[in-house]
Amino acid sequence: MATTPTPQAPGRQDMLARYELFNRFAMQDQKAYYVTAVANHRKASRQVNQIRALLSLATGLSAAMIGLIAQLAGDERSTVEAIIIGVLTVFAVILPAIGALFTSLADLFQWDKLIQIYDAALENLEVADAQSPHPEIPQDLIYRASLRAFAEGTLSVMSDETAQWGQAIRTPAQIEKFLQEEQKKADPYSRGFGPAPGEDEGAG
Amino acid sequence: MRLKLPNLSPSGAQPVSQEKKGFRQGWPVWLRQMPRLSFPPLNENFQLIDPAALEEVLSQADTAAAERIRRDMRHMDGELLRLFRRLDYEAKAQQNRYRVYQITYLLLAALATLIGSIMALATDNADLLAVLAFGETLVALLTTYLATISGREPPLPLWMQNRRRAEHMRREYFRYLCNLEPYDTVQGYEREMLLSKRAADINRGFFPGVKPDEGA
Repeated sequence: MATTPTPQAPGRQDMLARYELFNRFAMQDQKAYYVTAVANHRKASRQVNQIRALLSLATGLSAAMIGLIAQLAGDERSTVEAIIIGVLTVFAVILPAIGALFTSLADLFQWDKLIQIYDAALENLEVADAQSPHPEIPQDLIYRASLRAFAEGTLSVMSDETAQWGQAIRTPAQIEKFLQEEQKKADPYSRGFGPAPGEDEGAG
Repeated sequence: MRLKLPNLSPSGAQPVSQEKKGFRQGWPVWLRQMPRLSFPPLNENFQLIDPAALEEVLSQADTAAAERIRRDMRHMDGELLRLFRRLDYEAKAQQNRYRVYQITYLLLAALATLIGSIMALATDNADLLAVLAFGETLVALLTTYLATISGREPPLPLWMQNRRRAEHMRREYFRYLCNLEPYDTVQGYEREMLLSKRAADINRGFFPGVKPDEGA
């Protein structure tokens, strides 16, 4: 009668090679990914915030200068004063719209939330890394248990991070609201065209 | 004050990615993350472990152990990596598609706000008001057009679904490589067949031990 061969435990040399590969290409690569992502998201978030602040400052300055020039010039405005007021008025109208665009961009990319998730994952990876097997452990059984704890811990951090990432990605509420409003406005002109077959999410 | 960013990774190395090296180098970081209008084709040769780096590690390992690992890698290339490459690529493509739509909506929203602001200032100019009202309608129609197009195969759930499967596949790759549970209880052809089965399950959204498409 044929029997299923009993699995043999891998030898120390096999475990050493597999540990080296896992450590270098799973653990260290994952750490590199989190460090790079946190640095990039932090920088992107700061840059967009700076742009928003600058646009807000420019809008306020434009409005204040319109008031000042109008006050100083009185009713008798020169052509130059009229042109300056016109340009500043355009700025005061355009800049808030661009500022709102950058606010929504930050909501779309969720940089700050992702920084928190990746930072926490990085800390948890360090805990898993601390369980890496010491090469001088004499018994293969203990070495194997340590290798297993190290690798399972790493995979568990990666799994948790993916789950949290999935919960963080949402369509910004302001885009959903904008879509509903625009579809209402377009309704009288596109009557008779229902949603496309299988359509279940307009914002996608 | 501008803070200097720390070294990108503990070893200074860049993480493994299908992204082309040096993509949008020199651009502000937030602009580098913007979607692209022309998406590159799938890289059929992408490996989670660079073959040269793998050989570097294996050259220092025991000959028999290195040969076993090479056999594992060959098997994974045919049974798991080809599925991973497609899932990872599809996730990236849907993420790009989602962001193209979302950013177009943001631009249209900014345009709608702008038109509304000018309309509020130009109440005494009937001709200009008519033109602006037409512009406002055009924005609404364009938005509805885009929403209708993106409603077919919405990119957000497809991005999420493919990313979850790809990440699970990546973890399975390292689980097999490190001979973790359940691969530590079987050997030879049985171990290889187990990987094939689990990879096919992950590919259809059934994650071993987790409800379909609910887990990470």
